[in-house]
Amino acid sequence: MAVLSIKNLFIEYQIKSGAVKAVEDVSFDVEENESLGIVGESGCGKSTLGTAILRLLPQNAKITGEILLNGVNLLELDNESMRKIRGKDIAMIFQDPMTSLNPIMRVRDHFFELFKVHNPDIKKNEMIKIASEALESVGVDPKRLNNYPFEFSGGMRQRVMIALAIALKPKVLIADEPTTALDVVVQEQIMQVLKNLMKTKNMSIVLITHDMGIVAEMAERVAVMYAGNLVELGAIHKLYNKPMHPYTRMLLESIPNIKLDDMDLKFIPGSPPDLKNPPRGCKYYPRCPFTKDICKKNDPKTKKVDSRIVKCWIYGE
Amino acid sequence: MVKNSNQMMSARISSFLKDLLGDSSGIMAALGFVILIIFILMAIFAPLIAPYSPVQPSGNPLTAPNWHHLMGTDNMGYDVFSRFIFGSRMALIIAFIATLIAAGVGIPLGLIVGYFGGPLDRIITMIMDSVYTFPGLILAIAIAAVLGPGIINISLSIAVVYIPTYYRVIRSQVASAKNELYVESAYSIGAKTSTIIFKYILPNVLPSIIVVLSMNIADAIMTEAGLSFLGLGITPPTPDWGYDLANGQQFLISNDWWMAFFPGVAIILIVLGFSMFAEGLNEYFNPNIGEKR
Amino acid sequence: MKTYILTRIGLSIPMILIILTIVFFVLRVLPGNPVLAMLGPKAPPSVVKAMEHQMGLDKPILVQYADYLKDIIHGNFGQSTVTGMPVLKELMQKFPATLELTIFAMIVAVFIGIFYGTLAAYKLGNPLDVSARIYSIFVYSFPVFWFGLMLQLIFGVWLHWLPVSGESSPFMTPDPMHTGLYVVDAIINGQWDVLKDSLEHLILPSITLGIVISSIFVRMVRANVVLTLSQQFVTAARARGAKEKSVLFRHALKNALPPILTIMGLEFALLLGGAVLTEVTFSWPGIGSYLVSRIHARDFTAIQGTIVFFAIFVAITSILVDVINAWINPRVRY
Repeated sequence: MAVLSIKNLFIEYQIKSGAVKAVEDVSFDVEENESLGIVGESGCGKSTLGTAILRLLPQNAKITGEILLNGVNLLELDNESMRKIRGKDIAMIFQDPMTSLNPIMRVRDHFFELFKVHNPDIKKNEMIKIASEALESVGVDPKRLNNYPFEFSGGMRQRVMIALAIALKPKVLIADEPTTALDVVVQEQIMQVLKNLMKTKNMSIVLITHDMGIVAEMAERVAVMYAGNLVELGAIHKLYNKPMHPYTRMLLESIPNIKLDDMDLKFIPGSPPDLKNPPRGCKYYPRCPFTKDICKKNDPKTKKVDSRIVKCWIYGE
Repeated sequence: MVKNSNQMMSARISSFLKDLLGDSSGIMAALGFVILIIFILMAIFAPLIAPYSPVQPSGNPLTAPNWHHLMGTDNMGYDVFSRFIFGSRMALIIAFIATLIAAGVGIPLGLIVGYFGGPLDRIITMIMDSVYTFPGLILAIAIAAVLGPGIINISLSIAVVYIPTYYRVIRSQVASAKNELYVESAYSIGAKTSTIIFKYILPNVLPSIIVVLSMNIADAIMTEAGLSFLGLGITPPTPDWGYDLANGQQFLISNDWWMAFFPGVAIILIVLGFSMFAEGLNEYFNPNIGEKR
Repeated sequence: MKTYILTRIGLSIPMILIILTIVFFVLRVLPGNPVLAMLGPKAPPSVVKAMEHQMGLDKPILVQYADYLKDIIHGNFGQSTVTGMPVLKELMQKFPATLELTIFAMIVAVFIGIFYGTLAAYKLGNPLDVSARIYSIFVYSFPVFWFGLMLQLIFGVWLHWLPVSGESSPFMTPDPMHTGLYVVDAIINGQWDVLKDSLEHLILPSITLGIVISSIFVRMVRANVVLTLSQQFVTAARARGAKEKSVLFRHALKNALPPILTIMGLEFALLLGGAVLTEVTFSWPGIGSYLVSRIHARDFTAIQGTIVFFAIFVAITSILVDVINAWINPRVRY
């Protein structure tokens, strides 16, 4: 059964010169204990989507559609009920661990704040106990609860962020580019931490990244986004072995692979469209090698093709 | 060729004005500018605008505002409105002279010290910082107390206080501009020091100079008013807002409020004009994401 | 922390020395003979000479400078030429009134600045924010003495709610004195009628000065909180379910405090300048009124002493600000 279910989600940013359509008609489910990857270039709307689930977008963002958590539409909740879901039912970790922790609060106080917000009567001993367990589970010495964020390295801070996110055992963890700001060795460590968590905790993960390699390592299913649209969604090996959407194919070909003889790095020509005035029809056609006439006129519908979702005219009307 | 560059210039000016007026900061600058022009015209044409002489009784003392005396008369029977208009002369003259002196010392000093750096930089910066952190009005009071009244003396007392403002802004800008690539390249092709300072660095810091200048005139007017309020400014009966205000204080208790009220309004308007102008320009020249949006 | 404070004090010594030097040369070297100014231009030369000798003005300027520094280090600010009293003693008598005024004005300014500025930053672009920007630019252009007079007119002359001058009514001073701050002493003594009287006298001057200074605080707090509100840790705190009040004050405002405090410390100089004008406007018996009355009496020893006193006061405040900053911000402390 789906824990989190996104239905026909549209997100628009109102700016002075008009509206930017950041997310357009996106629907997908996140199953229990599943890890779903969302990939795409920067600016494709994947982070907007992740942030929208917690309703943390800036004021000028307009969201329509449904975000269902166990059947409850989060977009219809009042602010106070929504606040109580954040950190408890759905938690989030962010791209830049260097700036995600409040620099003048001890790590301990970050945990205490989280606990007290969701349970005002909680005792101090208990808070320390839960916080220590959470830190241990991500490989941080619980003694460091008394330290300030500036006393940690970037990788350690991201571990602390993860510990904070999982401390209350949320049903869904949204990880927005959790390793992007870290160097490669530390990236691997953080991936390891997340993988261990998936095995031991009862939790679904939505992993937002631009890195196809990380998705391959972590996710069971992948959603590919382009210019605010979900263009393809499917199980990881199927999608990697036989990408259906031309964009997915180009994206996979652009991963450098030292094992292949072909050492030339492929890249996708052109750049993503301006979301203030997107092209009519399919958003990808200006860069697509298979463009047909219909692509320029009408936006393709989302279709189910053998347990996968794809949005392309190649697969018929 | 000439025509071409003219066109470019006019295009640049029109885009500048469009940018300026299309935004709240532009409206603010424009509004401030209008207020300034009004006051400057008022000062220049004061004898034509003022209905009476500012230093001759023109009615009964302490008359409340009426059609003959729009702002009433003071305890000597002088017309408050005429003194309001003539007062702009003292305020502007002293503020301009003080600002000229302060800028004339502070800017070259900042340019030269900022460009050369070294131990001299450290010493002068320390002196400037000390003066900067000391209450400006109190320093001006002390100097004015020694120098005595008079336009030049008051201007000097105010100028001393504001030299560090120019020095600090210019020095820090020059110190950072010095490391810009185009300055380094000018240096590397053997340009003279004076060329580098005046041709490459000065134009770059000019926007901040204009903003600081305009802000500074506002502060100088305020300081001048403060000094005259304390009786350290211009010798009466020369019309001066600060002095008139102080004079009006003793009649406040008998509810003759107009003597103190109107000079204050004049100070507020003129300071508002300069600071709005400065503020608007500042936002135009240094757009800050958080501030603008 | 202790070494930090000691270093900070050490750093401010050259600053005070520079101001002392400037004050000395301004008062001694600038044209205008203090003795002539004191005695009037028609004084006979022999009297002038005698006076100059008595004040040590006939010695070489550098010797005078050395004597001046030596005296100040020993706490000797000289004798007033008007009252014959030690200047430092007179200043210490006047100081509590000034301190009381500046503290209460600061409370008013900080209160308005923090709340209005933070809320404006939170409601960026909304009418509340626009009103804050108009407030700060408009009130900034108020001459503090004019604003004081208008408040006197409204609350004193028209409404008869509040007294418009002095620090207390006759026979309404705290007895005995402990700190010299009327409000504090009245509380210590439990003299509630005196406390009420002192507060009534304090309200208009401190609101006058506080509101004028708040114009700077509002815009500065706003600008800094706008910056911290856009930081990732604020979003992260919200993602943990933190309440908006806590997001705004505990996360955004508290992180904006170090720069805010630093600027507030710098603006303290402006507050002192405003305090001089406010004291004169409200006949408040502090150092500002003292300075102005001694200028009119041409008492140069007292003028010099007062300026030196202000310099030390400013230096101590700036040390205090830095220590508070270090206390809030762990990165400075360690």
